[in-house]
Amino acid sequence: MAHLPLLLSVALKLGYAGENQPIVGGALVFLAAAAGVLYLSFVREEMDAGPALKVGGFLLLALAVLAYFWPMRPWPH
Amino acid sequence: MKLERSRGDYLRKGLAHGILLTASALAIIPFAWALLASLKPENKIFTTIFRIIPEDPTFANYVNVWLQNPLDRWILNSLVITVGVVYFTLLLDTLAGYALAKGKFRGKSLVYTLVIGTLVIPPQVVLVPLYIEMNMLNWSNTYWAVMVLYIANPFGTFMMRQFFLTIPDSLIEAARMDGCSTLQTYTRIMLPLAKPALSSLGVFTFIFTWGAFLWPLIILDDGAMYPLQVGIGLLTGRYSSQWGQLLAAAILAALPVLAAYLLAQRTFMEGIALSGGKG
Repeated sequence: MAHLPLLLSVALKLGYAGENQPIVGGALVFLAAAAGVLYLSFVREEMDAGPALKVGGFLLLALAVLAYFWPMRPWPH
Repeated sequence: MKLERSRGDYLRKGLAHGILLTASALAIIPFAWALLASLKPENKIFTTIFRIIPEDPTFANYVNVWLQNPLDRWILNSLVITVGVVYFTLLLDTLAGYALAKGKFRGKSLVYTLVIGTLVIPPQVVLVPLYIEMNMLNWSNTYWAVMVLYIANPFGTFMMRQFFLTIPDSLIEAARMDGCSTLQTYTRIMLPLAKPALSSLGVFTFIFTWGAFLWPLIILDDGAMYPLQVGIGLLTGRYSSQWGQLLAAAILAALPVLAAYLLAQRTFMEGIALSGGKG
């Protein structure tokens, strides 16, 4: 329980992205979703995944990369 | 034998079509007006309000709203929140729905009653306690604070339970005979069968979360963290508003919802029919 505040502060850092910071929390969300969708599309043959699901997995992967390397414009606009 | 239709049949059919066409027009006209007005120059939106088709259509409002506001960042924030909510909702609601439909454990009906009971509580009632809770967790102004409210919604659990109830127990028994554990039965048998219900729940959740406004407005106070709807809402000023830019942003915000619906339309309809869910 003593580590709880530390864990929460780490989660806070991952969940917040200021003006000129990489969106780490967003990248994590997209990565988790991409892993789930790609697993269901390509590993689980029972799912009989269509092209939308297969392409969607790669799109989520691309969004994860985009969130981490988010190209910031000068702020405020 | 040729069936003859009476005048009453034609009248009834005409009346039904008239009602449907009126209802469709009521839904479509505001959207079409917003789309066409967003193509007018800012100074001509209200001076030519009754001229539906713009004389000199321009994309200036789209360019200006994109350049003068962090619209790209707001869209990404909305995507982060929406993808997170849809992913975890599908994961948790299918598990909960499967357990409530096919599981055998003590207190199942009590848990189900509690899940359904949360449906009748208006979300506005719990906003203040939730805000205090998020502050105590030090989570205000984070993506998690926005997402956690929408994840594992009781409607999804109810919908998935209704779907899993329609699947015969003999399939689960056959999987057991073949040596599947409970989790394997869920991933290998139930989840592939639930594709239409998953699709419709995914689209429902996507549309609901994409349009979420009140909770993100309350819990977020940094412009870099706003989702698109909150950003658009704050484009209106107290004394003046850029209506052309506002309409352009609203049209841009509607596009992902339209795309999601069109992509999943077939399975979406199947899911509604199979689970008895209604929008």
